[in-house]
Amino acid sequence: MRLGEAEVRLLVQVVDELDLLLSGGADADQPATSDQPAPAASTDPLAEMAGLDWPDSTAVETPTDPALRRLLPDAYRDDDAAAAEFRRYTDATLRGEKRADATVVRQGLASIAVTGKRVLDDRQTQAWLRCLTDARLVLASRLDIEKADDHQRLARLDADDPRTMIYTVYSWLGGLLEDLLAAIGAT
Amino acid sequence: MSSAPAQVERPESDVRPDQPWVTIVWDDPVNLMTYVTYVFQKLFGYPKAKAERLMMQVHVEGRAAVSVGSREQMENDVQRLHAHGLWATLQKDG
Repeated sequence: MRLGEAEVRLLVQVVDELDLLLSGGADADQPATSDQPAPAASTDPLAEMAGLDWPDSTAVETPTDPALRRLLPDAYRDDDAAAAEFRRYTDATLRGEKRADATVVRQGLASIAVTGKRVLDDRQTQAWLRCLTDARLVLASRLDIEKADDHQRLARLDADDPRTMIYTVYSWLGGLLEDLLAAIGAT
Repeated sequence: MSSAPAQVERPESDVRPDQPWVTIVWDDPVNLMTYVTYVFQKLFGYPKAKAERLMMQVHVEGRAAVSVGSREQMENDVQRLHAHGLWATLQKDG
């Protein structure tokens, strides 16, 4: 993975925003480390007694932020109760995994900032693929990309429209993803 | 650099009367076709041809059933798909 200075700064910003979104803003100063997903405070006294790492037993609301809702979608289309139950048991884990991926990318970027490039091993490549995908989903949500032909509308924006910059970054991330996939022989 | 995705195809004969749930992947305008294909290969061990066929079905028809099994198995598949940025749901088969 090779990136120029400006590209590194850009990607750092994108990934930091993604991590902040996933953290719920609560611990914005403490991004998750790669081996410790964002902790979910256990409210289950039995779990605490037994020293078990049970998922958070309190209800978890469906995100109101559309970008977050796309990162953490409902698992059931026509069953709100089942969707809520699924969310209750998976939300902390899923956020933690995505934040861990973001941390791997941030660590890679710190290295690339110094040398301009870094060879990614398989584990890191997988983290980059998922994190770049998450970042694209967030940007797409901010751009209201809901249909395939929304891309055409965005490509025709005036240069001084603020969304143009976001769309440029979104497209660039897609190119990075394609490059990564090609590098692992997936294309 | 990375290992090739597993080429073992999940046998259709895994479907039993007590496992009538499916995982559905829904189309979205963001994810790259190459990425979706890759995720299907990686998560389910499908050969590339099958993964591409499923990806195209999602793309053209708006949705595709990508795995079948017990409710618990499908919840696990949905969770893994969400971890990879795809939009998936589970439902009873048929």
